[in-house]
Amino acid sequence: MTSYILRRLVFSVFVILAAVVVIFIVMRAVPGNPAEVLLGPNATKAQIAALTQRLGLNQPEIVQFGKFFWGVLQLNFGSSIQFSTPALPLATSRVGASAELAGVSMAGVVVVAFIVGPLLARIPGRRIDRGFTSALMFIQALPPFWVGLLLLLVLVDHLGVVPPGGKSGFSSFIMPAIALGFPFACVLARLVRSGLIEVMDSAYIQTARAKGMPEWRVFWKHSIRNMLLPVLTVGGVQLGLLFAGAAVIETVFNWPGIGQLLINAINERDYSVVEACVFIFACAFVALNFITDVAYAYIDPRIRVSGR
Amino acid sequence: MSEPSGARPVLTVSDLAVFYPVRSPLLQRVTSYVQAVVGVSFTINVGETVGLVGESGCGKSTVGRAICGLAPVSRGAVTYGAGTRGHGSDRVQQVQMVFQDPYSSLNPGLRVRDIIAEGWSINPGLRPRAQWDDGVAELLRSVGLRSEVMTRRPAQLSGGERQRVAIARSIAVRPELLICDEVTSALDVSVKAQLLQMLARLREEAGLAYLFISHDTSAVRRLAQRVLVMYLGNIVESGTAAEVMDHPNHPYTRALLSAIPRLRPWETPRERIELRGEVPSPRDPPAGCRFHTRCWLARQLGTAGPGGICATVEPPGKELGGSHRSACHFADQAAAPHMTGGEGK
Amino acid sequence: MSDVTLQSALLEEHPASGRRRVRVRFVVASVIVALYVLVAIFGPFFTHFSMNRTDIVDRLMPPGTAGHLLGTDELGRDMVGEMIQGARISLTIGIASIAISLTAGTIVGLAAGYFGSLTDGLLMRLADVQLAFPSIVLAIFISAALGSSVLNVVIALSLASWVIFARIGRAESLSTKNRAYVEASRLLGAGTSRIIGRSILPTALRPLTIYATVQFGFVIVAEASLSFLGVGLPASDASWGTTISDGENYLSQAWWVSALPGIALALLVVCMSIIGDDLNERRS
Repeated sequence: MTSYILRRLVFSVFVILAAVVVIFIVMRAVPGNPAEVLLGPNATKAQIAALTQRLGLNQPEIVQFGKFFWGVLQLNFGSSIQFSTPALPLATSRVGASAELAGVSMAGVVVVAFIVGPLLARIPGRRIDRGFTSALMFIQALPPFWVGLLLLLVLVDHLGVVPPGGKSGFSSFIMPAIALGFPFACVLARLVRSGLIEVMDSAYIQTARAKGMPEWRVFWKHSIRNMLLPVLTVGGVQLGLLFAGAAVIETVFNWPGIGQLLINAINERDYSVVEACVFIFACAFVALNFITDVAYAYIDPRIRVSGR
Repeated sequence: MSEPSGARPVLTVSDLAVFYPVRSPLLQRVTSYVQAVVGVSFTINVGETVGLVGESGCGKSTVGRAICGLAPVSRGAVTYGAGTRGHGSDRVQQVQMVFQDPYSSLNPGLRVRDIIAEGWSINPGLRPRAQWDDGVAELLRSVGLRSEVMTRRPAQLSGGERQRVAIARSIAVRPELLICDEVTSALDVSVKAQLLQMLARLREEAGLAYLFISHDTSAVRRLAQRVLVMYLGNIVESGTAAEVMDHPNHPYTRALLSAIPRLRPWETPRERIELRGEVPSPRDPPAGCRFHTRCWLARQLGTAGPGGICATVEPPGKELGGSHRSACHFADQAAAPHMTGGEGK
Repeated sequence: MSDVTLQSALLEEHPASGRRRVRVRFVVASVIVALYVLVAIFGPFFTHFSMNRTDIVDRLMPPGTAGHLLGTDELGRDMVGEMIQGARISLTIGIASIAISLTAGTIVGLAAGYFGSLTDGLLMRLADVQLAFPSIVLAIFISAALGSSVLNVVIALSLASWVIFARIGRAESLSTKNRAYVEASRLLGAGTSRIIGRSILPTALRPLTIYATVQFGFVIVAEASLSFLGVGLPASDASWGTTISDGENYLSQAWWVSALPGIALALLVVCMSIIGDDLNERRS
């Protein structure tokens, strides 16, 4: 087990470093001179040349990459053009808000899924069951940002129930958490449902019932535990996606998280901040995958042997 | 069983060895080797059926695979025909193989006709496309299936039927040698018998040589003219089917054959020889005679302990008359009464 | 994420209790998708109002107004026209991105699985690096870097999608290449391309097409998200995303501008999911 963890850890670090390379490549793939873009259409040639010099853009690519990589290793992404503060700390300071939102959303997702899932599992009649599943699929297919807008419309404009955006008290979490989490709630609910159905029908459950075990015990002792594995698997992945989805939702709700920072930075051409944000996203995602893989390997020993 | 029908060898295997490297998980360094096959030599002549028996893991399947190129040859040589080395399309017509598992040996997405005609499709010179349907129908008949089967898919066939299709596919390219790797192991008894019957008939009709690999000794007895017995990568005994199976010499062969269920056990009383002792791993085979750790004879004679001849010296193959050879230090004394039987139950 | 995670996610959904009444759902979904395609191709010929004709007097008319079945937006453009245009863009981008990523991913995955060792190591490391980024963030990043255009969005979304197909192709290749019938083909003289093409690819196509339907849904929603955020298509292209974005400021007065494209989008995505779902159930 330890060797597996070590392998995965080394692998994760390697992936992050490679991700840094990718970030550099993509940023430099921007056609045209960033200095030009930064200064706007009215800049003179001299001004452009000066800024190019200052930003080190006229050096060979390898040198630029070297400086960038070296900077990253020291956790230095340069300074934000908008705020004139170091980019990485700026990005990290916003992670908290995003993480809180993701956390609340995930909690909601799990609660909803474990309530709705078992309910759905017990629906009599195939037609009705199909209907509910299809309805869930439709809800899942709705674009999150659109649902966000709808929530704003209904809950704020028409009902005035929750604050219109930004992060304040607990009630301000509600809309963004729903908008962020509802597709995952649907996925998880369906998973819980199908896992339960499969387990409930299986032979050893029927044996337990035949032995006279009361229904609720059958449910908790046997069914839940066995359906936990695929749920955990998908759940781990979903948490990462949840965090990523924040980029869009935070913009809709003016939530002071890292996603909003990223979008703003893109629109303001604040390259250092863009790089720092993408880097943080990658680190978080890799870390989450690592944890999920290890948790899964802990539960299912076969994974440790094969190594992937 | 008829005499071997031709003196020309269809296959010559000399000192074949197959080693699989074992690698460390992290750095992929080679730490040891699995010695699947060590120093195996034999020939098969035209139209001859050679049976290869042994328990699971003895390397008999690996021998079959090495012969047709599906397993790497680490040492030694495999030669087809009288000295010509088979490569590429030549090999297609020299050796073909039928596999053990009927459920994974046919492409589930193709119809039987396309499966059987695959050899012709890959090697265009063998049969013109216009004659494929006729050819397939003929092949189906010769393996005992109705020609209507050609439009079906594997999912619609039973295990026995699938094996027949697999055989038809292999003989479509007219190989000289057909390797049957545990072809009856996955089938039930009655189907097994029919398949063996069909194989015998096919052999007459097509002049095929077989390498019949099986752990089912009675099937081998029925079909083979010569028999090779393998244990842990070595051939421990060889000879004609009558020599090896009616008068087994090597202690391992004797144990193996004593386990065959008999129809009327009260008529020919015989003690069941049980093998005790650890089953060695091919990665780390015992020194001396590879069988000595489980050999009832060595235990009886006291030669299995450290320093005993069975534990230190590899036994040479000893001639026993006719084509019968046995790789045991005590082969020539095996006929003596006090040497028969073993520890019994 | 490890391959087991992927496999279990793929296999999920339908327990072996065999529901065979899926047919109706599948047919309905397919018909709807076909309608979308037809509307996208032929729609422009039938609408009376040209795509970008603005009519300030008629702005923000609700659905049901005479001559404007679905209302008008803030510039007086007919919503029907907007929706049709959005359909064209979404379908084009969706189909193009999936076609590219499916082809490239499958080739890479099959090769990696079949040839193993170095090829596998190299290609899969590449995939792993890319998987360090959540897809949507990657799409946003690439799209922002390249600039706003249909081509750039297709590139960004293809890049974000190919990995999953490569993973599936590789898994299928690994599990199929050692099957007995593949060995039999080899014995019969089949070369590499024939083996991959006739024996490995056909089995791989099933999970690949199923996932393609799922990924299609992701792609078109992603495109809408990108356009909504301003990093996707330029505002002049009436993608569903840009239309929703346009309507953001008029939510209380003219909800239909933002609402309708969202429903259209969701309907298309759910129909594709149903199709994929049904394909998944069919041969298991």
